[in-house]
Amino acid sequence: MWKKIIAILCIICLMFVLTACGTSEADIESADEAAETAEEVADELTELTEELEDLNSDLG
Amino acid sequence: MKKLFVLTVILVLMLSSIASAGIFDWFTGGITGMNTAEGENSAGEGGDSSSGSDSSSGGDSSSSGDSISSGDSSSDGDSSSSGDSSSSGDSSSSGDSSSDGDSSSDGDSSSGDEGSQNLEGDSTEEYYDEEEEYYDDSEEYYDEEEEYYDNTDDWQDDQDWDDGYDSSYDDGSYTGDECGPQESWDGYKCAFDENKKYNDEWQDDKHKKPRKGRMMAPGFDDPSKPPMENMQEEYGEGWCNGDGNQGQCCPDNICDEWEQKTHGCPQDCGWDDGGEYQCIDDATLEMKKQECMNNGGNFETHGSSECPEPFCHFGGGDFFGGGDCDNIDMEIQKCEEMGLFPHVTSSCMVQCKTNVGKAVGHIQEDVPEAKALKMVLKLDAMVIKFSKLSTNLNKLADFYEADDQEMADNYREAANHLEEVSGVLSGIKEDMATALSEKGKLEQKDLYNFKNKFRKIVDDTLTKTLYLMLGVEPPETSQGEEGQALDDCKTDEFCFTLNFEQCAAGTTFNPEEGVTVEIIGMDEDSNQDCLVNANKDGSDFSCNFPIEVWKYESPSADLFEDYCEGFEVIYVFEDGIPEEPIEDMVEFTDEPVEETVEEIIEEVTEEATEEVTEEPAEEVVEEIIEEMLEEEVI
Repeated sequence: MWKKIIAILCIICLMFVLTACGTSEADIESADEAAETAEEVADELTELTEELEDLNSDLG
Repeated sequence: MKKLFVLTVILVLMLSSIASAGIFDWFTGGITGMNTAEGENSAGEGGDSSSGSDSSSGGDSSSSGDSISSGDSSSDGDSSSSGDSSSSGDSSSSGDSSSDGDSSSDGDSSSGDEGSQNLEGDSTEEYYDEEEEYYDDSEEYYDEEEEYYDNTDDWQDDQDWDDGYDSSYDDGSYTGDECGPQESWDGYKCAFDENKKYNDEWQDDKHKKPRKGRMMAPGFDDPSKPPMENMQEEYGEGWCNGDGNQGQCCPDNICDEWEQKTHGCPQDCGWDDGGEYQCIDDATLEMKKQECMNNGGNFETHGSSECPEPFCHFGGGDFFGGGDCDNIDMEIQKCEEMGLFPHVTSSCMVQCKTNVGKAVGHIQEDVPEAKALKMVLKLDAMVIKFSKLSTNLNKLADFYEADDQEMADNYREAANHLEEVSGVLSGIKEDMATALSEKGKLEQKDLYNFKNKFRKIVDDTLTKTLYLMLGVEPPETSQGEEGQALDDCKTDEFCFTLNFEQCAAGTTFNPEEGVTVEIIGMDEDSNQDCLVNANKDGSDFSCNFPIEVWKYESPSADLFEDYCEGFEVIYVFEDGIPEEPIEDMVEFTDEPVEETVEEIIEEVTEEATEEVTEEPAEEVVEEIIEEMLEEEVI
């Protein structure tokens, strides 16, 4: 009986672990991180804009 | 046994509390979870300057976790580089560095590792080690700074400055000997003097340096070249050579070759270097109108009534003014003859405008296969990048959701814009791939569509995205420059095109008698699709255009056929059923079908009988057999 209970608990534990791993998507948690992400996005956008302009000029 | 059970329960509780605290972020992200777990320690030893910066947000475990990353940041570099080092935490936590390959993330990865070592328990020692490295780095930094002073040409110490300084500047005796040929000394600086002319003195070495804020005439930008005698014209108003070189003055109402090439004289050519239109008088406007009409175009004036801009467009036979893609070259030539800039829409309508700024001009050549394939691959990568940026913006929106709803909404909208761009680029990529597989190259007429989409992405969507990120309202769109869009476009297809690209609700358009096209507005469910209704003789046909279509493509019959139910009832496509057969069909249907079939059967029978009776079948067979026998004998 006890063995079964322990087995079930172990399964629950594993489920907890798996759920936690699956749902954690490295969200932004501080203002610093937010500022940095915004800066990165802006930089990449600028870069991509330039690439698009290059592509456009390559078309003729 | 009971003990075992209790232990297990405790284990479960521990795991669940750890999971909810975010420790498992470590598996996917790395530093975020570690920061949280180590928060209290770091807060203790992070009595460093930088850790204090986050203390304001403190109290909760995550903010103390932040302080450890600030501690890292201080160990990685001094204050000037703290931004980089703190990004290490971010890059590793978001897992961006591996997929990106960006220089910024790469550079940060090492410090992310340092952070992980910090978690493992040796934090104190390693922290101080890093601090020593920090001091080493700082020494290098100063070394570099010294080198900077040594190597920079511009650097002058006070002694050099005193040596080179002419005291006559102060005492008022200086007369401006070193001023340029068109400049005079005003007691303080060399100022522009319109009464002075260019002359041979300009060739003196000391005058050859380009002066800030003024465009140099050809030949002057390169000191090794002599000034070009036939093009002695300077940027700006009020200059003329005065040596009898007619047509080389500004203004002289002659838009000469050099002015056309450099946009050097807006008064003569009607535009300036920044693309801002310079007003023209009524006589010139009337002249442009006549030229447009004579060339078979439709003339309109855009802009304000005080400063009207000529605008000429060549509409095709399409309902919506879409042109014939085969006539593009000819119509572009007409634009150029009128002294206007051509703009070709994605539906091959050629518009002649005064402003070259946002126009898709003449495309001269096809794009060969190899180059096009490279573009497709590049587009593929860009689609992924835009999608990833959209995800990051959504994360930012989530972060601001609690505290700043407006900011969150802005980021959410910006994310939607980028997702939209990703979709449009994906569409272009597929269209390019299809064209390549069919023709082995990208033809000119295909390119106008792609270029229009690129232009809208860059000039409109991405610009708006950046404004949204800044939390600032974007300035007026290009629509305002091109003309005021009206609700009732009547039969004006250009007006409808403008409104369609904005999905302006309430716009009506009558392409032909009995047909009304009305823009209903954005679909409330998707908030992306544009709903349009087409009505012919009381029958309604609804259309649903996705944002990748209505925002990035000009309306055309083909487009409406794809997205409107029953549009073929309203518009008869020439390609499908040519005009002549339609007339034949009308004649044919006048006669009952049964009778017609009987007639045809009779005709065929008669023909067949005639053929058979001309020569009996037996004779023919005999002849053939004889021929075959002869061949065998031979």
